[in-house]
Amino acid sequence: MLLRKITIAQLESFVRSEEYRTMNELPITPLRALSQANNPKARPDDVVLTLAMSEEGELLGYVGALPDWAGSIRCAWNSCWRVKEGAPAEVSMKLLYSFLNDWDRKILLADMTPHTHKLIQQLRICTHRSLHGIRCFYRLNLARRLGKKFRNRILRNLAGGAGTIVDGLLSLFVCIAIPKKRVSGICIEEIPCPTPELDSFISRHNTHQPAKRLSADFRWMREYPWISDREEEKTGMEGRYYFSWFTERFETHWIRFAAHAETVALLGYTLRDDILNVRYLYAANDTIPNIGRFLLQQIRTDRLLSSVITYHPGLTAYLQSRKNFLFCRKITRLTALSKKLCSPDEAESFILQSGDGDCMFT
Amino acid sequence: MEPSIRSGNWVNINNMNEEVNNKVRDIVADVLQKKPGDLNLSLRSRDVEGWDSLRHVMIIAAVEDAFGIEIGLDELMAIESIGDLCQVVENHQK
Repeated sequence: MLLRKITIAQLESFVRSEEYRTMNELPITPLRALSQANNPKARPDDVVLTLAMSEEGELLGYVGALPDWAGSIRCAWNSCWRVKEGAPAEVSMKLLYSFLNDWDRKILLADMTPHTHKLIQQLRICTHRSLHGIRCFYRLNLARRLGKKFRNRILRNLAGGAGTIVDGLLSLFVCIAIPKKRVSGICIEEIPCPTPELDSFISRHNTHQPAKRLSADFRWMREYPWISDREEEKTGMEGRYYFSWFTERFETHWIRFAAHAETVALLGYTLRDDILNVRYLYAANDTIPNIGRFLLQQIRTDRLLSSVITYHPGLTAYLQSRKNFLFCRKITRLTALSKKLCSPDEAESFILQSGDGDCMFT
Repeated sequence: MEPSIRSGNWVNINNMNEEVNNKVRDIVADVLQKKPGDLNLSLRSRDVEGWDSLRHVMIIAAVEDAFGIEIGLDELMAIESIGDLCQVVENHQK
């Protein structure tokens, strides 16, 4: 087995190469490569993708990194780690060790599977933190879901029709459960992206985030997402990539809340298909109810949305307390931060937001 | 002689410390829930059913604890067999 390392500077030519086009499984998409190449916190010689290749040239697995800074320390988020089914443990372990070596064990993990979580715990190099959140369902979008389930046209139409009736009734439920209401006493403005003028506001609210993000990072995320909803961009290679590449709908939104012309909260969320996912929230606790009300109005007016996900403790408590959802599910995200990136005191208090790592891109 | 290839060099497993070999083999057997007698030093993860990535790190952690050592990333990269692991432990003890 051979390990092949690809740097930021090599990524774009790699995804244009003949070798890439003929791979059975693609280790990265051109969208992700372009985004990585424009990472304002990366250096051209940063290793961001390591491939495990068999001696016959077959891809056995890969591990990805997203360069960042934790204060003045260079570090990287793990962006993917995948091995071919049936590949021996040494393939996955060598990829992981290679990633740790390239980044001097200064790593962050924003969303681990339980298996990876156990494995990283065994390495004893990270402080672990679980984010506890909530997913509230307000609609089911059955017409869309059921319509996709059947190949037979008659069944598809019947299921779609039944789904439409249920969806209509549920929309009525949403209108009753979430009355139309203006959020009063506060100015709400949708902005394309946080501007440098908002950096000082963000900085006041991100003191416990190990890798802090500011307007330049958010602009990069908005301009270079990892997922596309543009059908015309499909090239026929989508089936060869394991992670997400295309969805029906993908949007990033930023909302500024102001009182007396002063910013009091900044909310960043993504809309992916029918899910509204709160990714970043910088706000004082007393503004949380207003943000909660705003999100509920979004649910009310955007009929394509079926659920809201948040890991923000205040918003989680607010949405739970309203009890105007169909049902809700408690959710947990497993995160980890290298002990090299924080003092023991900081390890107790670090906070990751839902959009941290590569999550805002997807 | 039961050779193992490590970083392109031949390592003579017979010259390795018997005590280390037995202890490492016991640890591997314990983690993988096998009989120590079923494991020989040239066995690689791919040869043993159930030796997945999680078990691999559990073995490394247990060996580090048992011998009071910390295995470096370069060394970890080179470990492919039980014999390789024994060799790393021995290198730490020299």
